[in-house]
Amino acid sequence: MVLVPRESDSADLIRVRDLTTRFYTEEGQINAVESINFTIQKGEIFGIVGESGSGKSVAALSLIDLIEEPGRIVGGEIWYRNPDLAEMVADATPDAVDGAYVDILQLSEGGRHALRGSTFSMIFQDPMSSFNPSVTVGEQIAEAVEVQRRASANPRSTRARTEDFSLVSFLLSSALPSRQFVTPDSKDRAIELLEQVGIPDPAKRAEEYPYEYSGGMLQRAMIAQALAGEPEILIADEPTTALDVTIQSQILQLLSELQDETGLSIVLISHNLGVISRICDRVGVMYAGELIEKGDLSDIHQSSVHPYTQGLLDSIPDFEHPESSLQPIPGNVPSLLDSEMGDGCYFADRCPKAMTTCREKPPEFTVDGDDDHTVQCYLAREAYDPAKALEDNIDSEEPDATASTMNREQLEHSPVEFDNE
Amino acid sequence: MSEPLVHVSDLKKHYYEQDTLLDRALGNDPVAVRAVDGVSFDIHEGETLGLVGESGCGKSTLGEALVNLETPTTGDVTFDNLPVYDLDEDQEREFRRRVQVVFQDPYSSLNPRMTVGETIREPMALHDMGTKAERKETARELLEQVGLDADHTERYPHEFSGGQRQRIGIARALGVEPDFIVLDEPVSALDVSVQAQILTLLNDLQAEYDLTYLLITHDLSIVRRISDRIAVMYLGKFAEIGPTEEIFENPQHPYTEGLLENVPRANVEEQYRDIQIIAGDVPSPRDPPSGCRFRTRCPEIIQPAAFDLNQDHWRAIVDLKTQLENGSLSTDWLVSRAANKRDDQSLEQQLREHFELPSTLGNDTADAVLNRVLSALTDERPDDALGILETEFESLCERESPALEETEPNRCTACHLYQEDSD
Ligand code: SF4
Ligand code: SF4
Repeated sequence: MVLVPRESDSADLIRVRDLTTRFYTEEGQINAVESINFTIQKGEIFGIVGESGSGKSVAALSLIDLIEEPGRIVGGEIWYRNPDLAEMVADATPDAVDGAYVDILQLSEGGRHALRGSTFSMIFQDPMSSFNPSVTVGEQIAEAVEVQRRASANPRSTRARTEDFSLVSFLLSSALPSRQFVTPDSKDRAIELLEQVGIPDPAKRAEEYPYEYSGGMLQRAMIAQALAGEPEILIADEPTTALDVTIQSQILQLLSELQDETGLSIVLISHNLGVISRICDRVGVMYAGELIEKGDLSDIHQSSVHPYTQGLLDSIPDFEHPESSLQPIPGNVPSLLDSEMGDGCYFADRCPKAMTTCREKPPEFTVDGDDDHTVQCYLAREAYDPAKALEDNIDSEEPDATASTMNREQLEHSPVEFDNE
Repeated sequence: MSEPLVHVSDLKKHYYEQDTLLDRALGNDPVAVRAVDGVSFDIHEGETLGLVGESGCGKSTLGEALVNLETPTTGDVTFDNLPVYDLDEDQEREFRRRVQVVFQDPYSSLNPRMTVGETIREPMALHDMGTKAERKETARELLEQVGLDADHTERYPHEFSGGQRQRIGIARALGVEPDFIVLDEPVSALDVSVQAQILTLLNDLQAEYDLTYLLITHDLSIVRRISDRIAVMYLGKFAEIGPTEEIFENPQHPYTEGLLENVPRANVEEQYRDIQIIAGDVPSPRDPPSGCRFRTRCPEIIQPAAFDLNQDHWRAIVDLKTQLENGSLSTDWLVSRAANKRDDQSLEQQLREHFELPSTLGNDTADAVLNRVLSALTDERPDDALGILETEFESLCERESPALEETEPNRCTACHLYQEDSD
């Protein structure tokens, strides 16, 4: 697909095209993310919702180029709008530039790494695993500040330095950060960042170790660390899943205030549609590695087309209307092993409206002529016809016994765990 | 009302830290962690009591004490009129059959080396129920009943998904024909769509076998589906207990209200909903706050009788006091703030802004007190500031612990706002 940026689309900060990520394991090839398309606008919160094994975390890791062996991004483009960068790389890699946009997947590895922290930053579900337990929180954040300072003060050295010391590789390594790397300036900045994320008495808390923080406070500290490089895009992977509901609200409020104050774009990944509904502008629904439906919140809540989106909504206990009964989706998330994936719609074996047409993979359709609401399902084009129903489709008595839990466990690795292996 | 199946009276479970020989030799005093700190309630036959609370509130410890997996520090539990902590051997055996537990983690609660059939038959064999052939048959029937294939008895747990393993765990519990099942976060590890399947199954089984459930969970959105009554727990005590619908429709305790309000709704209006955020963290059960345990976070904390301030302003004063109490507003903080004056703001202005204190509280006496507090702070005397706050702005909620009292038929709430004796 050729991408021609139009002037009117200049709000797109990121355009992801056909991004595909696979894992090559002993059990076979796992199609974790399959040709997904989406955009991230400047200053928006884009939500990705899906169940475990849907590929949502792998999609996030692909975006920030943190896919590790045995995984690999095997195709697609990630166009990032940055006129300066475009100019800088135009000579060396003309194919990677299109107007003000740069396809970051075509940049050199060093070039991609240089974007971490300064363009993309990421926070995870478990902040404990992102901090070194034996170094104070303040020092770790100061270190992240210093990395970004040096990188921007001397862009030429960016490549070499960030490879060793970028925020992310720092997160990934369990090596002790070096003390001489932290200056009084960056320490002050770290305290400011801690204050910005609502940590009381930040100067004192900066001197404390991660274990002295509560879960909510550590999540705030991780956000402070992620902000050290003043990124344009913050990817938040299940940032509140491990937290209690009152703390979850605090963190969601913090994210949305930060977005407001700094104009940051946020990609919020969650299994909880309530969390997504609280702070996202637009949302994409993932199923079996595909982004099966996208739209703004009301498209998804009120006029969703994909039976999986509808099933997901119906299976959530409704707080406001408890009398409405739960409609569980029968069966389980399918295996993502390439050898076990059929050619048709991946949802067909659980879909109450599966038709003979669905034996062939549905392309992406727009819904009712609305370019911003798209779906991978034939129902966007034709109404359900019982005469064409796939026979014996759902056996709701017996949930599928072949769900590949192993795949899921592999896919749910956080990058930090990858490194510890 | 008939006799309750489970009766709990004033149950306490305290753990002690720093209680080793070495600690004693070093003269360290043992520190009590008051996981469960005096709860009383009944569970009636055939009902589901939902026990709701955030992590560290003591709900799981309470569940373990109920089924005698933990010996309480003080207090009693009776099951079908028998004292749970004082059973003879036969009674104990019978108790272990009639009371079952289903755990949260379907990945670690099943023995990976046992087939599904063996897993389900094991407790039946332990209790000498039926012949071997009969047990085999029962296991097959149970598997079907929980929605799996009878022929799966020869498979191993790793061949099943999380939801299916939870079904196996439920089948195992059912095999010994229990009366009472403690469900400890039974669906928390599962995806939403699978959660719904399991909740429906639990509902159906309860109706069919007349089961009594204690459902322990942090997730309010599931408790409403299958609980008749709920108890809300905070820092080792009950905040509120009553019929599920009444509590959801009209929560009394400010903590319950906050919990319900903060659950994210999966609907399109969610972004526009006005939510009162409950600030701060849950205090440590090693050193719970005096008086009401929720007072450090409660938006409705009661004002001294002499004042009638705007409640947000009052809460701001309490926040200032709380931070002084727990040391997060230290001299260091004041010094650093005074040193780098932002936007030419005086330290007092900075303090007012930081704590969202208005320039006037609309009450001369209160303003005078607050001014004294702030000048003590600008003079870097935080202890004096705290002293003034403690004498002049003392809340009933700090002074007295509210008892769990009946507020309406079948409903009890532990909050001074609902008590006769309040100021
Ligand atoms: S394409 Fe067919 S099987 Fe797939 S979700 Fe749509 S109707 Fe169901
Ligand atoms: S007793 Fe006071 S602090 Fe406690 S919940 Fe009631 S109003 Fe709030």
